Amino acid sequence: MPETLVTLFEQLRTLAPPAPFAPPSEVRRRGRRRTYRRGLAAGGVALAVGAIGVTPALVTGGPSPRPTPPPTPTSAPPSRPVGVLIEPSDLGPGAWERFTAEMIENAHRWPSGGFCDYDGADYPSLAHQDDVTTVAWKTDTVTVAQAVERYTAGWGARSLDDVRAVLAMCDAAGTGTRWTVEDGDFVGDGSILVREEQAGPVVRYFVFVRVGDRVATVSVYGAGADYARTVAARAVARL
Amino acid sequence: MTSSVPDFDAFYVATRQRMFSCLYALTGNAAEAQDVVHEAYARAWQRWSQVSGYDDPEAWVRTVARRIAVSGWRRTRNRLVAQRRHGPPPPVPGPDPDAVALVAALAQLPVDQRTAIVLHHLNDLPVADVARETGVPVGTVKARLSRGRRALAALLAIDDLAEDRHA
Repeated sequence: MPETLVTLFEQLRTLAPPAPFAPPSEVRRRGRRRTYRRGLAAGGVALAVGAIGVTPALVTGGPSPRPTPPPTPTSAPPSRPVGVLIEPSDLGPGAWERFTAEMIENAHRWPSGGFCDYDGADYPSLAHQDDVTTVAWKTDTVTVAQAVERYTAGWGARSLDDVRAVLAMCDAAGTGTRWTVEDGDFVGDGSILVREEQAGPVVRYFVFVRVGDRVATVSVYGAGADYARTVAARAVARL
Repeated sequence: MTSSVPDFDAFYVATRQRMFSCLYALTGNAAEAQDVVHEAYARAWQRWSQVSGYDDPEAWVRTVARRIAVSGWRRTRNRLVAQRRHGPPPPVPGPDPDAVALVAALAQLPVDQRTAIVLHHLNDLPVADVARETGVPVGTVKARLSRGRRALAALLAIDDLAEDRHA
């Protein structure tokens, strides 16, 4: 490890916070207050955390415990999907394991760390995002991650407009990584299919789908555009 | 780990400094970082019966903390809450201008490069663990580390930031 970085980060490791850390009892009390507030909010909007059988683990995106045998895959989507987040039954056969995908569990939503020189100001709709929940699944070869956002009335469509605007800007900037819009408006109230190609080549697909003011972003690594479309359709069925 | 107050308390005390350093490096704001850390541990306590059984509970807390930190609306709210609790953030978090300079330089990196750099060089996570925690291929992490180090070198006027042999 470069000596200069070692020295710099060593100083950072021991830097005191601006105030004493809260005692453990206060942290636990804060956690109990969160549990109480969530209990009050549980009867709210369908996308609220904890609703319709979505467990806290799915909502917060924590790493999965020791993997349990995957659910029996189904060849067709459930007739009435429960929960807004995709499940292994939506993804096809495979030993799907839940994991934490930082790239998608980010309110700014862009797994590649932003298109071009990312700036939150490029996404004015984010200020009107009311809620976001995430999930990520993987097998040995395929990774699927999803973020489902709920926007204030009227801002869901604007969210996709922001995405299109950033994509156009990045194409013009020549970043070395290519993002290509391969299709649009093929499902839901609005949709965008994007192919990301990095040096290697490393290819990922992103699909943005909207139903009303709910927007699902799905990223797929290790599978092709057709699979990304299929998962997008399953995501739409849950919105 | 068992679901018990002493276990949680011990875990919190043992890991909070490391968590704060990580979040400060990621957010660039010490007061906000501290509040985010407290919030993340509060969530861990909410789910301690689950989290305590994970292979790496600290990774879970760190992921939750990072997610809170980069959330746009939470950043604004936490800044206000932190100011109410601690007063306005000081111009520097302590008498360590090098640390401040490093954090300022990190703040200019794209979030994916910053995250990779912080997890690997500050938290000492192997590249494979960084890849697992961020959900991207190892090659992508290596590319982000390489680009991030080059950018840091330029920002900090350092000329010995060679490629990490272990990356």
